[in-house]
Amino acid sequence: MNEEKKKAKSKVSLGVDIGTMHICCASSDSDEINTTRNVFLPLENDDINISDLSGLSYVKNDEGELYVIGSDAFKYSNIFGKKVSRPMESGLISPKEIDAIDILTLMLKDLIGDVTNKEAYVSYSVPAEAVDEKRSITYHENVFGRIFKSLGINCTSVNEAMAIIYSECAKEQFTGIAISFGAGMCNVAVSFKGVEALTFSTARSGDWIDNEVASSLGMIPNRVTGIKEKYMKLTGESVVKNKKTKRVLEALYYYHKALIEYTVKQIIKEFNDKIDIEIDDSLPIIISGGTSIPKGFVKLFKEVISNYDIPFEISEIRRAKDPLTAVASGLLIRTISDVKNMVK
Amino acid sequence: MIILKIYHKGLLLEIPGITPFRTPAEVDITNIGASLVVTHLRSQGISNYEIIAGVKQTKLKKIIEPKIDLVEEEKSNKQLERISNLEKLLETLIDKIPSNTSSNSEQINKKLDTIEGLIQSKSSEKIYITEERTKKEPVVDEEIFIPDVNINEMKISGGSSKTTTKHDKSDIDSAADLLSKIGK
Repeated sequence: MNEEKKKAKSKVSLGVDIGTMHICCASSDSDEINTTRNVFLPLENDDINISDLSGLSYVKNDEGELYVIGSDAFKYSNIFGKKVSRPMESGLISPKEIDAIDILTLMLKDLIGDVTNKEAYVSYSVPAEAVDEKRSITYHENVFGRIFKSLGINCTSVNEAMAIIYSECAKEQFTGIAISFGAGMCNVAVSFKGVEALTFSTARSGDWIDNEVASSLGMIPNRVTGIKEKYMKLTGESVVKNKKTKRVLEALYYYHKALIEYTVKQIIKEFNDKIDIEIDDSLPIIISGGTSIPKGFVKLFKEVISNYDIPFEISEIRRAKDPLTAVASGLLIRTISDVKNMVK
Repeated sequence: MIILKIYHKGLLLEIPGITPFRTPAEVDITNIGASLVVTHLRSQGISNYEIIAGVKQTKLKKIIEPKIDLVEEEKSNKQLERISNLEKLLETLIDKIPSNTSSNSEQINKKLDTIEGLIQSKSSEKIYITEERTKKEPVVDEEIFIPDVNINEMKISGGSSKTTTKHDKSDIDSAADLLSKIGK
């Protein structure tokens, strides 16, 4: 009888991108990708009545502590005059926010939906080891493995940039170079026919730009992020008249360019050091991630890379169809493929 | 003991205090000091290396020692029993023979040397067994330190803060099909 029940369970495949700033979930059951901000806001009980939180997504634990979670936490952090807490820092689980693991679990549960009566499989994103920072990804990878197991989901970790290859390079038989400019890290993968040839990451990406601009101009990083998300265009056109904002945008442009130059140099170095084979085919470069969203980013990338002697032929440099959800889509593709091969 | 492991291939390294060697390699750097070696590696632009301290190994040995197989223990007990029997026989022999007989004392010394040799080889064999087992242990340690997830007493209330974007299911399915064929 139990065997029959097990057989009757329907299968669901999932792809979950766990980023420093966003968490995205794609499911084989739906044609929608759910996204939320990977932040939460702890509230003091004296600050607020439960009735004030109607319409907001919040968590209450057994000790009565309240946390506004996800995008709502970001929106309302200013109202409560507090800084949001971030469960992740520079692409990995934050050592400062150990308590946040339970909240992260709930956020993932909310995003994934109910899978209790299903046989669920997930591929979740992990960064590669950084070439410029000594931090291991083992703890991060295992914590999320445990989170998914606690939700009753069979899980596999997949490199974040390889997921972009799966979602964007089907026409090239999964051959190409994917660069994910996230908030905390920049992840790079080189793939030949779906086989991971080289993966690495750097600790410089969106947060690095914001922090450098903030310290150069004596500002708070949050304020820089706000201006960047509202006005930033890397095409040179200026839409603001305020002198100070103009200065921030100018600094943002310089640091975006510096970030791209740094990443290109690292790609050349890693390629020369680690890839021994002669590559006959030209490779497409796919640009993705939240930091690549400002208009003109891909054009600037093309300008910068044209100044360097690249150890491979480039067929095309293009942006992912949706830079925010490309990783989640790729992870879903990988899960469906794995489940298919498993059944066979 | 401090061991340096370099994974870079095809380099000829000349670190002061060590004979020049080719990589990949494992080198004992106990007498030189890790900081000097790290500085030297940095100056050469080498980042793919690991420095392993001997303290950790000693600690692991202590934990693992009781796990030695019963068969191994039995074997070593028998050998130790034979050694102590030999010792007893020698003691009896020494008691019976007058102390000024030089030829006999030579023989006794020889036998004592053999016994010492046996004891030394036994103890080195024991270390070898424990070192082999330490390789598997860190996985267990890692599991212990990953925090448990407990959300039984917590629940999400209010509205949802999700935003949704559409994706083309047929694109996803055809890409997954292709990937599963390539991956076979």
